[in-house]
Amino acid sequence: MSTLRKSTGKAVAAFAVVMIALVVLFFLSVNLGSIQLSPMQLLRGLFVKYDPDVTTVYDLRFPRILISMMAGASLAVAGALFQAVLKNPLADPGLLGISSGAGFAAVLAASVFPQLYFAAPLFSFLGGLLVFGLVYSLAWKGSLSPLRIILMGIAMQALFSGLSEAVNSMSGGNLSGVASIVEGNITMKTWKDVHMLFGVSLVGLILAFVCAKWCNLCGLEDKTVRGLGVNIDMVRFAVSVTAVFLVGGCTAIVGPVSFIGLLIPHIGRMFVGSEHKLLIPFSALAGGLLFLLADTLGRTLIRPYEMNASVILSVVGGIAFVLLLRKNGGIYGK
Amino acid sequence: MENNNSCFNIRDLSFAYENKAVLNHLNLSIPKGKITTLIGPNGCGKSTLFQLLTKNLNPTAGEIQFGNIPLEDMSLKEFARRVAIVHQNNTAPGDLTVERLVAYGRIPYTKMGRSPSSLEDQKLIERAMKITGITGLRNRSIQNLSGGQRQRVWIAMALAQGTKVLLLDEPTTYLDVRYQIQILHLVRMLNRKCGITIVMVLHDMNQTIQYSDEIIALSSKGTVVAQGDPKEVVSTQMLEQVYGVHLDVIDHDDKKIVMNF
Repeated sequence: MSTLRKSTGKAVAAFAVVMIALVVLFFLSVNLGSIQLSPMQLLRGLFVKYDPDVTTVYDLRFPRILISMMAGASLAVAGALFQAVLKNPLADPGLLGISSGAGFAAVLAASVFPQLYFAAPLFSFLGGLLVFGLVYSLAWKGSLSPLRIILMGIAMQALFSGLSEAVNSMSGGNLSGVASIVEGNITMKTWKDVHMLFGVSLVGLILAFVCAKWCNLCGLEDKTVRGLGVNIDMVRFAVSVTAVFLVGGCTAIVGPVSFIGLLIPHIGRMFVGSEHKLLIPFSALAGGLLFLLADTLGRTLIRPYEMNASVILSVVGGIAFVLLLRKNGGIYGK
Repeated sequence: MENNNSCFNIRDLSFAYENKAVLNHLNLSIPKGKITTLIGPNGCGKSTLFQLLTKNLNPTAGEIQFGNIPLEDMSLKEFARRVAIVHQNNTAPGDLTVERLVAYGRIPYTKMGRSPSSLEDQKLIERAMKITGITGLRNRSIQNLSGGQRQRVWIAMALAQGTKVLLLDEPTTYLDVRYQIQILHLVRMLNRKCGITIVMVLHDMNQTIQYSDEIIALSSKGTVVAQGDPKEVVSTQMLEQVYGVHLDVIDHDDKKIVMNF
């Protein structure tokens, strides 16, 4: 009878599993590679006394681990926000072209004003906004058809990732900053990047959590929301800008990454339901977990070579999404 | 037409989509405290009028007043504290619980960022669920409800707004006859017991006659053909003007019955 209690239990279990998995994977990932550390040695090296192995790991592995988690969290939450405001389960920062637009702006900035590297998130935020505006206005024909938005997004994705590749080729691959964004390579990331991403992600995630109740309202018909005295167009605008901000921040650091924003909110809805006060924090945790898993696999599976996390996410995400589509009518199904 | 007994005053109202005129210089007054039903053929502008009354569309010319305040001078929030609306084809996330959806009715009273949780809010939510008979369903999710139950949940959400006016757009569409009667009984009870002014759109002529104090009949040209007590205004000629078909009307127990075949 009480579906409420059952679903609450399921949500609590899902949160617990993801959090434990994240902690386990974090330590596992710290330890995978040519230098191995026990948790005790790590803690002692970090907080008690100098240890050269710990310092190497701290400078090389920590940044990419933290960046993976923050980028995964940002992208997954951005996906949840886009899916809510567009009432479109297919919405994803990558498929909408936002990531490519943000990536292109970051690439352009890195090749024209390399000295302004610290403002990269700002440039990519603006690039993301530009593409979002284009997708919205070009798809608009009296109303926003979900399908038209996705088609327009795919066009924008093709256009801007092509432009990014072009800039990369023109620079002859001499600008490592440009190449790393285009390829989504996070091998060479440093603590400087961590600090930059941390600020942007934190602000974005807090804003996203504030948006949660608005995202819930987006699940109703627009006219119904308006009947409750809420200006739905303003809500949609504010939530969208928050999502673009999240995408812009992490794209400047890790390059355009698709599918994580599509997949994680889907999985989240299966476990914690469509309540965004749960879905948004869950997406943040699960997104961080998935990105870190992809990056960790990417650097261990084919040692001594490396595969970028975005490549793995693309392959896994594509397959998983086909399975999801076939299996689950779920919350959006009629 | 200027009086204190009207809920909505519509003056010289016109509306056009692109260049296609839908409503032409409409003048109407919808009475306070009664059940008023809008009828008319498909495409006559009933829905447009409904959207204009609910601030979802803006008039091309003329104005609508609520009491004596022009609608355009009221913010969405002010309006939502005075008028509650149940639209057609409502959707909600399937796993949303009944109680949470009803609680959305308190949104017009929230200050920026504060969620509805005060005692007053809770009291009105409970009352809305009790009146509509859905208290027992409070923890169920929307996807597990029948069509009739769902419609009662939407009405409960509107009641939680605590307004004296309730607008319903085809509240019985897609329901079987048992649920249609249930909903119409509920609507009548809200009017008679709670004193709520009802304005609704219906298609079934006999239900309209049975449950309305006042009907407003629009023609396919978007003009008013008749307004008044259904016992007096419903006739074969009137129906022919409205729908363009010949229907016999018979008297039965002081009521009129439209033979709609």
